[in-house]
Order: sequence, then structure tokens, then C-alpha cells
Amino acid sequence: MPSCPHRVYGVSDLSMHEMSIVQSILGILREEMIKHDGHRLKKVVIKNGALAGVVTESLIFAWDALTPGGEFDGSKLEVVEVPIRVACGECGEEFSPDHSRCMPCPKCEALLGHTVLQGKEMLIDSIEIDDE
Amino acid sequence: MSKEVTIIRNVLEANDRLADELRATFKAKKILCLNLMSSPGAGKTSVLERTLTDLRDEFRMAVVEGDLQTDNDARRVAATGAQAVQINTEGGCHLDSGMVLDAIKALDMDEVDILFVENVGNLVCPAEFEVGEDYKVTLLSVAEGDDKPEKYPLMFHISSVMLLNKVDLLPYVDFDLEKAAGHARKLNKDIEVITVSARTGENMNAWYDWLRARRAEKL
Ligand SMILES: Nc1nc2c(ncn2[C@@H]2O[C@H](COP(=O)(O)OP(=O)(O)OP(=O)(O)O)[C@@H](O)[C@H]2O)c(=O)[nH]1
Ligand SMILES: [Mg+2]
Ligand SMILES: [Zn+2]
Repeated sequence: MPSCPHRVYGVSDLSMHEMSIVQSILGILREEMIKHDGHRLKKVVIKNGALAGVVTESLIFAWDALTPGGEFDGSKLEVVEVPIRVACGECGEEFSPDHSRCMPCPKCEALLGHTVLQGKEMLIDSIEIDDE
Repeated sequence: MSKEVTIIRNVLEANDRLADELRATFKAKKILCLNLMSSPGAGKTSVLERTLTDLRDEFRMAVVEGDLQTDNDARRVAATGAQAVQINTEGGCHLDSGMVLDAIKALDMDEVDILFVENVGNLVCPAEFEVGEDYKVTLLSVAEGDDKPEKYPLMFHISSVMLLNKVDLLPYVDFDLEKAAGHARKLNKDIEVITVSARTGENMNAWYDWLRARRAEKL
């Protein structure tokens, strides 16, 4: 056992959830640019589910803070918000609730126990690139 | 020429890859890894202090502490004799697998049976980022209100255990145990609900039995 087991780690480049998400996006984009022989990224389309816990405005803010001067300078981030869709836990009816806090089934009025079908995703949908 | 390319890749996948790397390490070393999540102050560190003390002779335990700032929590759990390492996220609202991979380098992983990862106090974001855990444990204290499972469904949906802490305060607060447990079970029919008090030690044995059973599965 070491005499002083405490270690302090600083992870200073994380100031918010969305910053680290944009970092992950940039990593994936680098791979995809190579794969598709892209020379310049013009646009990237992200799908942001309402239950993913990611704020669209913060995502765009983080993108605008992290991309200038880098390889994706001048590209555009487009965020498509994906609404929640669930299957009722009681009767199986599929529906899109008005908000995530309360989801009464339109058929049987059950409030809880639903299975989320859509709305948890946070994914890169497509990119637009110049290939020459 | 300009072209559009369909990609469809999960943005959290970079983290998932690192989580798999952690899982492989834990599997090889037969370590049970638990991700402890809750809102700030629900009692994660207090539950750990008692657990590390009570099970000291039974398991070799280590803790990765995640906090915005300070190493207070790592000091508290290290005082029990367990190995501990602190991660300061400096504003980051959750831990991710990259941070945990870095942090465990400070631990002797050959001397660990159970690794607890105490996530940053936050009921939203930690649910999105795996840290190589076998199970997620969400703590809820009775001081916070029985509507939390309803308000943060994802958290309870993906947790294997809801530890309801501070039950010693039940006489003083308006908290309906059945309601909170009921909501959690509706979100996740397999969730185990264990009521405890880290202050008095009440019912901690039920939590220890769960730990024993999960650790046995790793052998
Ligand atoms: N009455 C009572 N108080 C408790 C109990 N468990 C923890 N506390 C108190 O709750 C406060 C917060 O406890 P911590 O263990 O630091 O909570 P935490 O979840 O680790 O907090 P963060 O790491 O800051 O998110 C402290 O003042 C504890 O003494 C309990 O079972 N009963
Ligand atoms: Mg703590
Ligand atoms: Zn229904």
C-alpha cells in the first residue's frame, strides 16, 4: 500500500457535457474524412434525441468554440432534434408524448413503464464534403 | 465536387470503445466494477465509507472518486484503508471511460476485488457515459423527494439497484417509499430497491448481500 494513496487528476479541457460530445464528434469526423477521401467538410448533420440530455444550443456553441482555425474551420453543424417515441408498458400502443416528464398513454392512460423506441440517440447522420 | 455521405455513427461510441477496454481489464482480473450515481449529496461517499469499513476483511476494495473539484472524497474513503484515486473534472458533469482508464493507473489493480466508481453528483449526464462498470447503482436520498425516478427516467431505467439512503430521516420528511420504489420498478422491472441509512447502518446488510452475490458472479 503506498503511503499516500491520494492522487489528483485534472481534466481541464472539459468544461461541459457538450464540449466532450463535440470532441467525440470531431474524432469520428476525422476518421470519416479519410474513409471518404474528403478534402473539406462543408456540413455535418447530427441527430439529437430529446432524451439524450444534450442541449442543442450548447452543442452549437461548443462547435463554434472548438472548430475555428482547425481542420473543420468554416464548416456548418446542423442539429436535427429527434422527438421521443415510446411503446406503452401496459398495452403496447406506440405514441409520441408531449414531453418527457409525463407520458400518459393515449389509449390506456398508463403513465409509466414505457419502452423508449426513439429519442435516446445522439448520432452523426451525414456529412457534406468537397472531394477535390 | 461536393457530395453528401450518410454515416450514422453513435457519437458516444468513442466512450463505449474505452469502456469495453476497461471491462476486459476488469474481467481478466475478476474485478466487480460498480458505477455509483446520484444527485449531489445523496450520500455516495458516506455509503462507501461504511461499506469499505464493514467489508474490509472480506474484500479488497478500491475507489475512483469523481468530483468537480477537491480531493476531499478520496481522502474520506482512503481513511478506511482502501485504495483511492481522485479525478477532478473541473466543471465536467460526469466521468467517462478515458478518465477512469487514466485514474486506475494510480491503483494496484492486482489487489482489487471490487472497484467503486463514484460519479460526479448529477442525475442526468452520468447515465449517458459508461465507465466499464458491470452494474450501475443509483442512490436516492429520502430528503430529495419521491418524484425523482419519475423526473429522471433514464437514470433509473438503466440502473440495477436503487439505494434509498438516509431512511433515518423518514420521520422528518414527506417521502413515500412505496411511491418512489413503484415508479422505479415501472421504469425498470428488474431494479432492486434497497433502503439503507449510511448514518445508522440500518439495513446495510441487504446491500452487502447484493455486493457478495455480484462479486461471486465474477469468479
Ligand atoms: N441523516 C443522514 N445523513 C446522511 C446519510 N448519508 C449521508 N448523509 C449526510 O449527507 C451529506 C452528504 O453525504 P455524502 O456522502 O458526502 O454525499 P455524496 O453523494 O458523496 O455527495 P457528492 O459527492 O458531493 O455528490 C453529509 O452531510 C452526510 O453526513 C444518512 O444515511 N442519513
Ligand atoms: Mg461524494
Ligand atoms: Zn397503453
